[in-house]
Amino acid sequence: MEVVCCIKSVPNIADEEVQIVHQRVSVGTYPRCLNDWDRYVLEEALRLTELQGGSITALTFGGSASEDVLRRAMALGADEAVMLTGSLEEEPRRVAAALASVIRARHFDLVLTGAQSSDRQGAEVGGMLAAILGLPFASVVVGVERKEDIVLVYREIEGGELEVYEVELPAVLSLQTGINTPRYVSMRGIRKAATKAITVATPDATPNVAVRLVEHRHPPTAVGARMLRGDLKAIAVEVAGIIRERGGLQ
Amino acid sequence: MELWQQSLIGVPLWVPGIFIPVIGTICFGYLLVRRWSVLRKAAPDERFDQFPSRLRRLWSLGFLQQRQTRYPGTGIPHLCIFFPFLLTLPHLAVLVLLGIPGTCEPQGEAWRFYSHLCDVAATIIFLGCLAALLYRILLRPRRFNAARQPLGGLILVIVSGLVLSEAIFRAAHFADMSQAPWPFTLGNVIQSLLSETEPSVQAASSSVAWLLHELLFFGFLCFVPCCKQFHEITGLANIFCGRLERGTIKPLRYGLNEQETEQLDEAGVRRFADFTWKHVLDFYSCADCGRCTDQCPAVAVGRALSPREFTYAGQRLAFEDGDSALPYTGEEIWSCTTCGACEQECPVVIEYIEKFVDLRRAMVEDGKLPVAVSRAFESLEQHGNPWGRAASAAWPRGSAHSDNIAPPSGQSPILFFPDSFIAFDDRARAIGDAVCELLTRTGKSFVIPPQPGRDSGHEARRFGEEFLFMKLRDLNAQAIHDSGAQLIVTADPHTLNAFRHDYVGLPRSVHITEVLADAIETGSIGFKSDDSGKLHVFHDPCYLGRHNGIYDAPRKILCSIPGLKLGQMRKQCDRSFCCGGPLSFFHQPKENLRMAEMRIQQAIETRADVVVTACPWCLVNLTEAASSAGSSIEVIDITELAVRHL
Repeated sequence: MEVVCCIKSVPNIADEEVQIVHQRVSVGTYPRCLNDWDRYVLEEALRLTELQGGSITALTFGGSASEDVLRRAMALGADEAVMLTGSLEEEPRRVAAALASVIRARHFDLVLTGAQSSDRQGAEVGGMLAAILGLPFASVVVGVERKEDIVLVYREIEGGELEVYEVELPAVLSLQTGINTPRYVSMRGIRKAATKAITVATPDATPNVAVRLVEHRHPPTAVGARMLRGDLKAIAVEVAGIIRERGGLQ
Repeated sequence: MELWQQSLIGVPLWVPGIFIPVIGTICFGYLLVRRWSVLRKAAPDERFDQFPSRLRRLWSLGFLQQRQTRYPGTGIPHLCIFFPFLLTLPHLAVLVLLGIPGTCEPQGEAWRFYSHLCDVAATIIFLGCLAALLYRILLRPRRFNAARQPLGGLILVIVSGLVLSEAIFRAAHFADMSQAPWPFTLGNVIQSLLSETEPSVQAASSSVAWLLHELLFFGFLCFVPCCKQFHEITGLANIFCGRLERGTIKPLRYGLNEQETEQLDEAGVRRFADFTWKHVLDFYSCADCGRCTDQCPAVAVGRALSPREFTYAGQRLAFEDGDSALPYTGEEIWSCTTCGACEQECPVVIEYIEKFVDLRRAMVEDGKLPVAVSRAFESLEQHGNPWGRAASAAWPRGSAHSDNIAPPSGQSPILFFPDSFIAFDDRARAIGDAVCELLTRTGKSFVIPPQPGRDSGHEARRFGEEFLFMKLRDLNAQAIHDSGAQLIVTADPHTLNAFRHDYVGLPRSVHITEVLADAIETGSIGFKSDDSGKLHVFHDPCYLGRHNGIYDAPRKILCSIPGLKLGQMRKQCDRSFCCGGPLSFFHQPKENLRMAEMRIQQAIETRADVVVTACPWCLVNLTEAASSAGSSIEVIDITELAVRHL
């Protein structure tokens, strides 16, 4: 089974407050890491190829800032890595078109993407990619099972209900977290992958985009919140008092 | 008539005198070659440096067996068997040779005197075996594996039989020479029994005793490499090859530099042959005495780990040439806190921590490890601390001591390295404040590294992520060199251990308790008296005490506070009981009780009001345990106690 994994490098903001410069999030100052959803994408690809044989291609859009996530993918066991040059802030439609141009030129059975990325949380690229490639698509997938020429795809919907679809291959699936338990990639593994070759490609298609991000705003400071400060014990006593007062504790 | 010329039921004694040693030696040789080949197949190790220190250790732990007396119930019987056995070895050799045609028994006053001495030795060995046997049967100590008790008993019976047959032979012999054995010896008792029998019986008893001795000796010789008694052969070698320093961790593979290590196909222990030869020697040397298990905190709280069973399983594998798969489970491998209580106790210095670290390394490389541990690794890689906190949130920023953060390059002689736990934990950062206060009071000017929240990598290494440790080490070493410091002060014993044993080429590093003990000595700090009337007990942190030998400095501080009521816990100093350590923050193995809760119970037993410790992890583990136990016992760090009495 030939699996293409579309993965993304995202800023790792930890517990710092997001900085907004010129109405945009300033991402340059943060360390970068693999998008959390894509950890599950790579694990699922590994799981499927370990079961059925085949190979994994890791594909990312975003230039040299994204090299680390490809190294990580190769350390995990991706056989090939392709890096599309471009801005990490590129609009989803252009990203999807660029990814499609690389994928179309290859032999593949399955394209996996994360349900969304942790930075913009647009959840757009997967669906757009399927549309551009003209392939079946399933989103928020929580389980994949290969059955000859089709895959059984499990989708979790509201209220924990489970849908099971038959999807013909090749197909594009965007995976939800929790579909598996991603394995850890050791630092030695990543270092060893540092010498492996990465194919660099330049996107040839730059479609016009009709949607543009105009501004990024922090949430408005809520009114009516009370900040408790000082000694932890005193805070705990005060919290307990407030909860009791409002009927939360009998 | 010489012994080989005599005969028993028509068979001349030279026949068994030749055949038994030849067959016995061939079998024994075959077993040794087989055991040796397993060692040869094992991974490399480096154990032949520092010869004088190794010889000294061989003398104190090997020959004098200093660790035996820590368990007097079996330790003293063991000494009673070991020393006299050494004395009788030449006699034993002579006895074997006497069956070979052409040999004759040594004559003369000296030999006779030596024979008498051997008789005394045999008596002591016999009594030692009897005492050990009674101890096993009557007291049934928990540290022995019940299912293997009969084997232990059998070995004691064989050894008793060996000395008894030897004593009968000698007694008959003394009678031949019309000599009286020394009073109160086995020989004396046997001779008085024999003297009432016919001369023919006396003559026969000597031959029978010799034959029995021959059979027992060679039978036992071949049994030794197949059971826990193999320690008789490998024990001394194991002590000689034992790690001289505590607190260290082996490289991924000996004999390779870091670049070569990086290119290894795989690292860590997945199969038996991945253990180093010293670790195989450890397995060979285990006498199944259970001292490790008796002291292990993981065993005490009912985790799926017993160091004795761990090594015993390794021994079985080694005896099967290491061909089977490793029987160790992830649950077992992640139950060890690396506290080192087992290693402190083992009479033949078997090492455990490095084996667990090596097993973890394989799990880390295969990506199959506890989820919270892998999350901690990822955070360490990205943010330099296991909680994924932003560097800007680290202590001392926002505290009164933020002015002490070092400029990019400086000339301050002292660097206080807080490490990530003190920098980020709400409770532990009080230690940071206290250390700054104390250093200032002792008149020392110091700086704090510009990235105070960066982890030393100590835990990353012990959890098996060697290259993550190396990354943190390189960053920290650079920052330390840039600070221009000549002395590094630490408050977290894990940090101290990392700097002393995991890093190379750093300036001298000390723990804050050592700084304070020196300051008390020179009079640059003094404490006001404690009139609280509260009873204080000290909890020795594993990485301060056992791994770095710092027991006196904290006690000196406590004793220099006038009027401080000080008690003692039953388990203290090198037998201190681990609080669960940093591992408890990232992985919670199945257990009946948390280690810290058990430790707090031990403190409550002493009727203490305050538990004083000297490690941020101990502080937080024990504080939480005290509060979950609903106890009013207070847990504080020794630096906080010191500040209170300034």
